[in-house]
Amino acid sequence: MFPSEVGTLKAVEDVSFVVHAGESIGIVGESGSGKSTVAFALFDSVPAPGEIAQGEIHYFGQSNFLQWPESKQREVFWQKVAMVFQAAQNTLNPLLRIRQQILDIADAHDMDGTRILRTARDLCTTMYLDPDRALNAYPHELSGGMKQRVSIALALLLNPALVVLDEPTTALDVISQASVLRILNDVRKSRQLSLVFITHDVSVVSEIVDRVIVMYAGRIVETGPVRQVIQQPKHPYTRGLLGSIPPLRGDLSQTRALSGQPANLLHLPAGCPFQDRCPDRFERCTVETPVIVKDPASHREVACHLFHPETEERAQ
Amino acid sequence: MPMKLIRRLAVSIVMIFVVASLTFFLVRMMPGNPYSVLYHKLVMQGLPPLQAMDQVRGIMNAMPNQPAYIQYFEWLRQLIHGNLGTSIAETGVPVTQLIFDALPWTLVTVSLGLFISFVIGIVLGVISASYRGTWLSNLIDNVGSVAHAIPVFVTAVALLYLFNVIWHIFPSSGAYGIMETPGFNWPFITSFLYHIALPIGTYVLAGFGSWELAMKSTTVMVMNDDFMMAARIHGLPRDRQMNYLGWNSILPLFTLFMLSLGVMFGGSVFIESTYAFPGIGNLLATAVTSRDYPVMQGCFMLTTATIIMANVLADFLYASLDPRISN
Repeated sequence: MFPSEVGTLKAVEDVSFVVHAGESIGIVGESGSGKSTVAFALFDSVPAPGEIAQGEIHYFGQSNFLQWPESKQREVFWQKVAMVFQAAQNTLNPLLRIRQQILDIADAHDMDGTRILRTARDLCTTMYLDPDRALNAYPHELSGGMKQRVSIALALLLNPALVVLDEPTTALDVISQASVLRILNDVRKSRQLSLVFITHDVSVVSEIVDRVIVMYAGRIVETGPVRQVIQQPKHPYTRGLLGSIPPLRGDLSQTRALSGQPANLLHLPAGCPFQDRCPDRFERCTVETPVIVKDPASHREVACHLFHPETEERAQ
Repeated sequence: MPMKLIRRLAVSIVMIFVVASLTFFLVRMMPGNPYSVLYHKLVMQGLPPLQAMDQVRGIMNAMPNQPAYIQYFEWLRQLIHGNLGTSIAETGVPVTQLIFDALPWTLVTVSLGLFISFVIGIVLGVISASYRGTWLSNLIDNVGSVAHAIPVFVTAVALLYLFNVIWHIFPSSGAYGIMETPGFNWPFITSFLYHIALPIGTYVLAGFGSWELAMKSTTVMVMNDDFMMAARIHGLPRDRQMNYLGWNSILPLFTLFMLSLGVMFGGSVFIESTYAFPGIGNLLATAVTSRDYPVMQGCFMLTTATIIMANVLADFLYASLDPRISN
């Protein structure tokens, strides 16, 4: 929750999901849908003045992480769960060489500095970076793309079980984007690494995520296996989101931007938060907030009155 | 790098020379001159005008009537030989000697005062930033603003009144008791510490507020930087995080610190004259009242030179502290 001058803003509400070992999920949504807040909440690090009013995080079947003392949380940070930040450009201390910052991380986790540095060199090579140059550089001496790759290498440094990637490829050109994603996918398969991709562009990660979670106005509106969701989106918002991606070939007239503005989280309407922009709205949407319902056959979940059984009955 | 340093030094020397030359003419454009000051003083003491005139001639030994530009070239010629001339009011005493007598007192008080106020300001700034939005932070910020806003001469007089007139804790003037001989002896050092307590207290009270406010604002800025969040998620322990925070927040204040060191070397005229402290500021104040041109020029030149040199030093030291600047 973010307290603000005009009231408390709930950036994220009722978002829950499970990530299995070796699984890769994508959290998709437009700006302001609460994706990044979910990422920071996973580290109990929602930027001030924001706070986590309620919720639970259970890592590896343990007790609620949010209630752990900081010293215990620190053992999970980076060693078990790491992150590639959205603004990877600014996530390194500008006053220290990359090498020193790696040593700081090794120190913080009581690990042998030389061994970690060796791992770092290998990771740099995998990320198409010259290890000598990258490790001896100050952050400002690296380009945006290089810093992004350094921060991906840093995330894999301590061999974590889960890596959260917040828009990991935005600073990269299309070619390195593809290769970095391929590397991540390889690492995932070889080490049973779980990945959580946070992105606004489904098409970028569609190749390497198993499942997508579509968020709107801080809530999950649809989840399901990536292929199914892309081929047959159910929620009108997912349809709109996919429809707004320009095709590589063919007619641009098929591409439509989602109309309207993202919902104002301070003044959410009664009923469905997406109603103002929804092409399929009917009376019930303005009265009742749709709950997320699972379709047992397809492992898909959707929060939309259009797909609830009683709605279908009523429509007939 | 050495080439750059040499160029900067050359430019600095030219700047010092230009400012000194301007000062030469400016001090002479002030209303009144040393002779009329002395003349009026004697007349006020009841001497008839003609006799006063004779006396002035006797004391000053001469009534220079050369045009200013000839005096200027003579001054330049002396300057090249490292000679700043002799005092007019204290006849015959070289200006360099007056300055070297006064400088140590000013150096000690100013650097101690500045250092203490900097440390207090930094600590309070970090505390205020960490507890921002609470009553503690508001209290610190308000005290800092008020202390910063009160003019130094008011602070100086207030401290003098409280600690000397009312409570008789600290002496009111001078740098050490008249019974002591300056040097490395215990009575002198304690007496000296007693005497500089109030001047330093004034420097600290007048200075810590601006350091506190500046430090708070840079700290709050750095706290919200992405790399601080990253440091936490990297699992860095609290003290290492504070180290990242501290260095990144203090750095912008460094240049400011060096500059104020330069500014304060000139001695605070107000503080030193309030406590009759025998430093550069007091020397300058006395020189101005008696229109002692050579002493004024010497003091101004010292101030100019320290500010300009502090600036050069700050630039080069900064480059070694902040890797982003070094290239």
